[in-house]
Amino acid sequence: MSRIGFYMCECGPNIKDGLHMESVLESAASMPGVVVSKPFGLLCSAQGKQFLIDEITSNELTHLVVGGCSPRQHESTFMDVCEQSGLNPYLFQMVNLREHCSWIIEDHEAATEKAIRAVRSAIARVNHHEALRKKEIELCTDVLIVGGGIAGMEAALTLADGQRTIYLVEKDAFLGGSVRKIESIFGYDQSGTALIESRVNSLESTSDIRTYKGSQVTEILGFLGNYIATINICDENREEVVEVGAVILATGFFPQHSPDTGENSRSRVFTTFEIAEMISPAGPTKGKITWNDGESPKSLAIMHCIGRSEAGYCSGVCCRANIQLSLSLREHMPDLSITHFHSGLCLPGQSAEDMHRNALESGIEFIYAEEPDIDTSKNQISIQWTDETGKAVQKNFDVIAQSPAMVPARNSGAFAESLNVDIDDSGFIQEAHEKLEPTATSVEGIFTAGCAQGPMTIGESIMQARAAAGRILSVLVPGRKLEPELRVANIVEELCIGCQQCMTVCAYGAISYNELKTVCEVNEVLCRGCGNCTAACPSGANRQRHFKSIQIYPELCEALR
Amino acid sequence: MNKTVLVIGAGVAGMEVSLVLAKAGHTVHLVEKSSIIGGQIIKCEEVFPNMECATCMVSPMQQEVLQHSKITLHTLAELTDIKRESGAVKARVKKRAGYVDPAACIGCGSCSEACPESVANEFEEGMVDRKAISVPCAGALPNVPYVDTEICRRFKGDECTLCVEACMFAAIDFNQSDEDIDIMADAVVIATGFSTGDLSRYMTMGNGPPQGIYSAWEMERLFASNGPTGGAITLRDGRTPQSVAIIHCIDRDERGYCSSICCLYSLKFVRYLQSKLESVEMIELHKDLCLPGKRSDRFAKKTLKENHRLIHHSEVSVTANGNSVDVDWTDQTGKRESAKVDMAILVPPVVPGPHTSHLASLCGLQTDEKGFFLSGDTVNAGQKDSSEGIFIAGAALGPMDASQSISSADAVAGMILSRFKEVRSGEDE
Repeated sequence: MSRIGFYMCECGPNIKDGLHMESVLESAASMPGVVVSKPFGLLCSAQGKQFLIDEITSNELTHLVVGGCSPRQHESTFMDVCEQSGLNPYLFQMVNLREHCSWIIEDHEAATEKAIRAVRSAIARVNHHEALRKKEIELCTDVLIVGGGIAGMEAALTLADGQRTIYLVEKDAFLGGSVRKIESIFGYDQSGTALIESRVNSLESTSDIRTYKGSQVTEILGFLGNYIATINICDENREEVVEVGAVILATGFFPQHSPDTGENSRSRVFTTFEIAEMISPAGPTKGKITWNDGESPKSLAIMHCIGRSEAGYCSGVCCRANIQLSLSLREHMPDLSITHFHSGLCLPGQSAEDMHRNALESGIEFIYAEEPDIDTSKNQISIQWTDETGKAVQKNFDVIAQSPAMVPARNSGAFAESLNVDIDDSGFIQEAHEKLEPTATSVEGIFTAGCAQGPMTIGESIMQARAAAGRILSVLVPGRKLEPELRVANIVEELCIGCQQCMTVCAYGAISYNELKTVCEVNEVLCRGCGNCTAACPSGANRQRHFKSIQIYPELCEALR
Repeated sequence: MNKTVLVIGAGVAGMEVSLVLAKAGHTVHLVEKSSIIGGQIIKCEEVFPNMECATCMVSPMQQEVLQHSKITLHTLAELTDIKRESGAVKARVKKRAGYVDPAACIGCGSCSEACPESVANEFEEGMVDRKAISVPCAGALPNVPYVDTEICRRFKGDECTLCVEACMFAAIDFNQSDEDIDIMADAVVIATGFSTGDLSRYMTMGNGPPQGIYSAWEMERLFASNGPTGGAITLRDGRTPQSVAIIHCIDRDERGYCSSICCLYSLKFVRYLQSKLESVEMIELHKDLCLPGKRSDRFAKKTLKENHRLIHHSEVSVTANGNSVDVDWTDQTGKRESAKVDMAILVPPVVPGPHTSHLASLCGLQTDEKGFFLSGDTVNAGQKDSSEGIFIAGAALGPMDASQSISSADAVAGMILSRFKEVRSGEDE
């Protein structure tokens, strides 16, 4: 037999002066199962909480209903009170009589009527509540990182703490990704090669980082704290299966090449990335830019924003990188005439404009031109554009460097999608929340860092790598267990017809189909308790704890009485 | 092993770093100089590019900070001293008395109603007043007012007890006094955020008061549903503007850098204006649109309608002229043009927070040429921080949006957690 206690907080004048407390208390007292119905000045105060503890004990209450402020403010307060009194906190219901009634309804009668309905609904519902018991799930603290560029390496180094194994998987034969080849980087006094080398050295001296070069991750199954991943080590033609608690996707970007614009273009049309590699002393041309069998160019045009309109976004990095490139070209080849063609410069950050001013002062030219015409059919490359006064201008160059859009690395999107990780319109990994969770993905436990998520600078990639590592270190704490949310969906096997409707509406990848049993199953760690699947289930097999029909119907009956 | 971290500043970066560290099991002392947490973002009604409600977005985070058992929040508090002591940092925090007991106060606002003294509300850019005992805005968290001793009658020798009498919960306590709190921390995070450039010289140009000249923050508060006009975009004289000029890059040349976030939030203003003023005419003057990132171009494309005048200017002046504002500019071709508008919104530069240099000298940190905190990291991201145990997160490092601030905060948390583990594994040996 239920023994329900209803306690109504006056909240000073806030509830007391906005409605007739007595009518609400009387109506509550008249309901079956209610053994106490009492007001109190301020239930969230220390005295109020002690009062509730004493009341629960002395009245031997089996269920508790509190009418007061928004559950957002004090639901957890009163759930704690239940726990302290030995009452399961899920045998409790809170009614918002302040924000939903007394504060917003001027007419006392109307506010009281709404309050009565809300309180009666809560009492009707709480009578059917079930005690939910805390669960604990073991978690693995090891981490898998896909991609051995600067972001992947930095994440591995931040995560390595002697207490977990980090698996760093790189598809190429060497680590370092795109940064490895860049000689001169804006905002850094080190070359890309040096940035990578120092990290490679640290990685090698860290015994708990296991690096797999020339390897690919082929499958990741599981959920936060409990993933199983298969690594295909291509060189050795074998597979290794590892258990990890979290995954970081650091698959980087790819510079989208523009189509060649003429038959002579191969020797004279480069990408800015190729030029950046050429000026590296360790690069293919030993630090020289050459064309036509070793000749040095006298003039170079850097074309910004190649492929911006096709990509549909500004990569945000290129203007600064191109200016840095031209400054280091100025050092390497003082006689080279350098011209930038751009359609507006994007120079965010404290030092970018200083760099631009340096470039202007050192004689580097910047020309504003929207969609200039490039003709590579003749001996010299001809560029034609319309200046801001509307006049047509033409100029010849020996060599041009095209600054391509940064697009997602090849196959990275398909790989992410195979993990149920959402991809955005441009093929980059979609953040779990654009502002608040920039390194989390749609799958809990799978994170992203660096250009896999969108074009960004090297500094930003490093920051994101550390950020993803920080989020993981905060969750995968050695010795800790996972405590999943209890108010989640579950499926009654006997009733499930295996139609998989629930799977189509689940946004969290929490439901899977068990082919052996021909039923669907909910992973309670992944389920967020949104209720979509429960609503979609045609056979009534899918039920959400704490929101079962037997709890919701009596609640609705009282609300609509 | 449980470590202690001191976080200075409770904006998005400070809150995020506190939450990540607290969830890892460490103790956090979060120090905030104002009476509320949330930082600058809670002044915004919506954020680009998804036009998501900013306060709705941040309020769960604020609640989590307030309710987390590992986070101790010190509002009305400032760092006054910092020393290194045997591997740890000893910090002294001065907490000003707010004269309201947060445990007893329920935030009903009866005290503010009773208070006879008022002053311009800084949170609302001075567009409305606040009382001597008040919270800055509706929805403030923690929802606990404080007494501003600069204007409260009791601090001018008067024995006023109106607020004390109005409080049903005896929460107002004039016996409180300022206190010094000493905190031994294993790491310190500075997340003091940014400020925006002073626009007062633009407000005084021309004949008479600047009826139609507004700062970007004033625009944010005009549009905010919890703001001084309840979200109505009306001019100081009550008129609804028919024409608006949004002027980017104010003082950009003087400052010597692009503030990075303004083009995007100016486009957000265009959305604001489009949503509330159907036939408003808009001119937008910029010195190069800076729209970095995978979503920005699409956001711009979706925002800018055909009749929107987007002008690439090299020089602009704004002058109040009676009820309207004269905007004169020189475009990229050198041609001079002008327009008369009802409202001009000036977009100021993002500048270092007001206490940056003071805090830098207190902590022995360097600032960059533009006055922001210099992290060993942004310049040379290969190295761990140079000032042992002190980390910088968020817009204290330079202009950044909320998403970058969060990344930066998570990154600092990552470096701290990584470092704590190193210390621990050292101890184990």
